[in-house]
Amino acid sequence: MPGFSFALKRRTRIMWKPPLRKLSSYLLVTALLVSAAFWAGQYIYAFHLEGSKASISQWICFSGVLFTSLFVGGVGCIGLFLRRHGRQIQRIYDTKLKQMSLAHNPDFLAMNAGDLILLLDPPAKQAGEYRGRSEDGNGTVSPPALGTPPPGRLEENLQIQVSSPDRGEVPPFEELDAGIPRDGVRVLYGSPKTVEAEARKAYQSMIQDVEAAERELNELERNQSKRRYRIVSEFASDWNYWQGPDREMLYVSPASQDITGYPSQEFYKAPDLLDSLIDPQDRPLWKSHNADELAEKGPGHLEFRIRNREGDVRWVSHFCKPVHDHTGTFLGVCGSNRDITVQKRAEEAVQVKTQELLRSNGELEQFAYVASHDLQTPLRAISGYLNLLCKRYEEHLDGDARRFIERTNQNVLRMQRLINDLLTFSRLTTRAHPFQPTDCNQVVREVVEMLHPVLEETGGRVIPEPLPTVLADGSQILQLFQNLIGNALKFRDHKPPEVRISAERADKGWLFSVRDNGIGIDPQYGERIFLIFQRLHTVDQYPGTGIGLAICKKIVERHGGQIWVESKAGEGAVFKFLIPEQGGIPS
Amino acid sequence: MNAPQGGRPIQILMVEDNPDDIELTVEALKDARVGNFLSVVKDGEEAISYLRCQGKYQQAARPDLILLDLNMPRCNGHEALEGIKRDPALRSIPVIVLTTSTREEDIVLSYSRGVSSFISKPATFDRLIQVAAEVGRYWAETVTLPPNDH
Repeated sequence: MPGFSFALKRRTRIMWKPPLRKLSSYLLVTALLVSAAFWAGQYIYAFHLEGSKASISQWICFSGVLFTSLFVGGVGCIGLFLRRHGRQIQRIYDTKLKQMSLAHNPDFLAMNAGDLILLLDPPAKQAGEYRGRSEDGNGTVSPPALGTPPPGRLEENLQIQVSSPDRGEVPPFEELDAGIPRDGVRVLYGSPKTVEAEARKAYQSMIQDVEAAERELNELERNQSKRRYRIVSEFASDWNYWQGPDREMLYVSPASQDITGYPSQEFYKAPDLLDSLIDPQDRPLWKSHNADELAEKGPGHLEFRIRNREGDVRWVSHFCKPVHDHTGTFLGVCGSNRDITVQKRAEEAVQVKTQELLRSNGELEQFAYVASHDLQTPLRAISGYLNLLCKRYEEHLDGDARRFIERTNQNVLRMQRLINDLLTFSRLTTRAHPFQPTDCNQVVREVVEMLHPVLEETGGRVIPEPLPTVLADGSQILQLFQNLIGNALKFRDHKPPEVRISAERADKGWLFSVRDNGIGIDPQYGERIFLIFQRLHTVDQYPGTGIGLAICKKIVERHGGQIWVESKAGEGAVFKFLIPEQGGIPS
Repeated sequence: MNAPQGGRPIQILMVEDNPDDIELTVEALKDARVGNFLSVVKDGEEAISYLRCQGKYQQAARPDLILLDLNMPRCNGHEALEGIKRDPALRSIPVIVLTTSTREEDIVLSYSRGVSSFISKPATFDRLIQVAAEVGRYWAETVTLPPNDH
């Protein structure tokens, strides 16, 4: 009979068997003892009454009643006691377990294997290198949550503990007692009162340990998080700060020095330093922004100039946000200032360039206008007077005079054409249209329509393959095809001209080809022909101003593409140009 | 002066600063045999003075038609046009813009201010004669002009 014994090794390790499970055996033993005593007493009493009238049946009846009453009484007393105290202990125990919230402290392993509860403290954990965590929060640890079981005998014991609820049976105390290492185990046996007292003591101590451990852990975590925050904030190149509701600086990152020249201490000392650094021109902006910020309107963004310690102007991109705690109390404003001086200067440079470009475009436009008006006007007058001369004085002019007048007239016309072409060229940028999906099949059809008289006259043909739709300035694409097809028809040899137009997919765009069977181009002039007013032939051979291909080049380049020619003299020419899918400089 | 009837001479006011253009236009009208009385002023301000018979133009006759150049010193063609079309006494006189400009803005602005035609100055004298003939025939014969004593 195990009885109640006490084995105290370490108070932090307790094994306690609640009495309820073993209640039946205790009661039985107690009842047997009591009934045996009375049976014996009755027997002795009967011997004393030798010769009395009591019969055997009376004996049996008497002793039976006595036995039963004693048994029931004993059972009742002991049961009552255990019921009251055992449940109480159990309740205390369970409550403590829950209070300890072992789930939050993996250093403790709690096992509530049926009626058997085993707690292991941190040293045991270190020895065993395992962790347990309560999953259901009531102190019960399911076996899978135990992690790696400790080695050695402890492991065997743990396995016993863990497996016992499944078997629905708890191993005998002796077995457990024998199995657990003596120096690391405290097995509690004893009267419920002792167990309760010991349990209270043990748990109080354990709670203290746990609380101490928790405190330590919290401190550690706080320190760690402080360190982490410090490293992050001090590494940042942004000048971050936290200004409390009373405008005092709660935090200023060291980057403040890089941007303003003032170390963060100066800002702690004088929170108004920030305001005084703002460039006078931007102060009204900053004031109205601050009014919003104080009104706790939400995140704000602002770009302003500051004067740093040396008096230099720095551009700052400022973000800020009001801070509240979980109850909604206003805790001030967190702000972040980034030095964007370099970007700002670049932006300003771009702006200046853009202005210059706009101005020069404007000048070009003006030039185009001047060219069209002021240069054309005298030419028109010259041609007009020449004409009048011819008409009014025809009879006074000899052949030479008429020829000179005719030559002058031709030059005037050529000058007019040059001016018009120059105008067209300059208008490629000043009169550009936005890019829109342009069906090249339609464009080529229009060009063929326009060139109909030439095709008729030369017996030429234009053979287009299916062409794509591209994102382009439609009128310029028309001009491009018009110039290329026009050239192909103009620079023909004795054969009737034949122009083939095709397009193929290229890297990020379409590669167009305009192929002719004309006189071709000597490869050494392959690049020169795209320059303005560059001609390979005399005006008598092939008329023109030499601007057509320069216009083509400018159009293609404006669309972000390239144009080139593949040819040999006498073998026709292939003009190729690439129109990218996206790109160019849409106006 | 009576309102012009078919083929009868019409009174034209030419607003043009370029003497060559003036002379060539006069010659072209002559060549085109457009019977007319032509008066010339050199800029928009003069044109307005002429039309209102102010200053030295007290004796000026009200024209049936105005030929207006756009590029002129001082008050340019657009300003003159605005002045003419804002004046209830003058706005019924047809205005033909005759200019070197081919700018879209000029064309749109002119028509929106109520010109009757926009003509770009022809590049050749032959073409100028042709234009003069067309204009003369159209305004003297085809259309009915408002009475010019109004």
